[in-house]
Amino acid sequence: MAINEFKKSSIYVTAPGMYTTIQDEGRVGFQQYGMPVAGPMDSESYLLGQALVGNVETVGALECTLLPPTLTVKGTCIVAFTGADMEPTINNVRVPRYIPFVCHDGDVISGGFSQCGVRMYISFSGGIDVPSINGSVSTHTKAKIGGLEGRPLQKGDELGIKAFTRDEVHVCDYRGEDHTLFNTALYNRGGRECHEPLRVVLGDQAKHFTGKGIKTFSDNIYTLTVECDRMGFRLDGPEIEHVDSADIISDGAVFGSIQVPSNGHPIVLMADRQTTGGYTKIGTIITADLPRLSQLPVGDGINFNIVSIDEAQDIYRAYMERLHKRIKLAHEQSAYVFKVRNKI
Amino acid sequence: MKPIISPVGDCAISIDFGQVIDPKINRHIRQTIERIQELHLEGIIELVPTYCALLLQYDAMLYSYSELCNIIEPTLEQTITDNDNELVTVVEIPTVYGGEFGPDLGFVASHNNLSEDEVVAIHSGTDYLVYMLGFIPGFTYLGGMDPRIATPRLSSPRTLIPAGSVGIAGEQTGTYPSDSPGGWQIIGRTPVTMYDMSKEQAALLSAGDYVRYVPIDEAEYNRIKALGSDYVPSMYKVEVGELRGY
Repeated sequence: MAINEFKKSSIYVTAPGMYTTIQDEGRVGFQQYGMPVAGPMDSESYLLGQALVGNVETVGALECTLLPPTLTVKGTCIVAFTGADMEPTINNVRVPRYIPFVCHDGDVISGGFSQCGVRMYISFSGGIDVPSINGSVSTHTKAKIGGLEGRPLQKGDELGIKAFTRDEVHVCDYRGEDHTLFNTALYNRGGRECHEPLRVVLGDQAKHFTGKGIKTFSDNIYTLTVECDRMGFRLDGPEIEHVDSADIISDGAVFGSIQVPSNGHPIVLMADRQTTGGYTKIGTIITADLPRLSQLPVGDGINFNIVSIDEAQDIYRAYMERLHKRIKLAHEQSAYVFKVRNKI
Repeated sequence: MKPIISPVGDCAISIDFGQVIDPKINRHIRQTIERIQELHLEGIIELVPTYCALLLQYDAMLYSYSELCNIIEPTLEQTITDNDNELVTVVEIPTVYGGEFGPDLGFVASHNNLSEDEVVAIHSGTDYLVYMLGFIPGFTYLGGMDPRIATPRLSSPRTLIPAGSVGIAGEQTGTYPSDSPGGWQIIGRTPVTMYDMSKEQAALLSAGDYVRYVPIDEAEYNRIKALGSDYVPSMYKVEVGELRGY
């Protein structure tokens, strides 16, 4: 069967999940005016999700935290689950991640507490229909901007899914958990395990730390505290020693920059970071390791491995080439969507 | 000092112009931005100017760090023009001082042994340089306030300060672009929208502009407020030497 035109549909939020926000690639180009970027914490899982549902332009998807929402579909839509394993279900049937599914009127999308990872993305063909602000629908809850009124989903919300057309979509029956996954390549995070060291490029402000401080930073394990959210991850561990002051004249920062205030405990700046900050930054985590960090839960330990800028950029280029290949594979997969039969 | 380029992760650089808050350094940063923009480089994702640094995010598939440094270096070499007839942009911010719009005007006056009218005359008689934007969308870090009206923050911050409120905190002054909690001494309010999210050019002010607060009465406040985003504040170029308070 081939389908190619999908009307506007919607999803009704029966239960909001733990902290579910609408995200796209974020607000790029407005940091000079103080506008934070926001966007997905794990951009890799987000981008793969977009490709799996056949979105060529990246659009609004749901970022779920630890526990996903329960959604009732009105109309017909195509969804895919990527990122953390929240054991997603359609009509109470466990479905795999990294495969697109077609849902019809009355179908219920849900899942359970995450078995691995912190953030799962639910992507929809066409994307979630909410107003764009400065070129993005991304939610920034602290600034109360984007998504649905700048807040996480609540019970009773109804989200529109934009109409879309697709060249040709083949619908296949999903026959249960023993179904052969043919896209295991999509899971693979470039062969790196969750707890391998996060690679860091030291910045100019590393000069504000003593040699002992830098060694403390690179030789020890730091633990994710309960104060880890979309803005930043506060870490606990041995104090990193400054030469004198931890304060600088406020300057810009990026996703992955590691600030160390005077208490010596590092804070990694994440997707919702403010555009500027006034604490010394020892260095910045490389792009390839940020999706992995975004999926680590509170209480997990991490350690840092200092790499040169040349090494970091070699890793970056190899990582991006691999990611583009995986995105291409995901786009190929998007032509074959699965349908859950209520009785298996 | 000669600006220093350093890596910020694998996809950005920081250019440090010297750790001083100084209008000349800020002007040097703006000139650098213009020179970088004139190169029409592909893959420059964001330029974020701050007090004395410039953050540049780039596509590292197009340039390596050392290639980008070689491209950017020449834009830093040129000497800054430093004469009094350089033109800068002044943006007028009409503001009602005192009353319900500026509940702390009386305190700022008594704290500094001035009359309320004197505080207004001093505050609106200086042109303030927008050093940078940050903290929240449209929030400007201004420089140049007269120390005669400096006043400490409130001992207990207010839970809600309305958008447009003009305040003083220590030797700083500024405008709240959106409703927000805060501890600044509020001396007035402007009806002008500082950050209009429906517009492509969302922020009214950019780094390098000068702000001139212009006292208005409540009737004028209501007239401008009613115009909403149709109201365009006066903006004009003046020579640096003609700025007030410099």
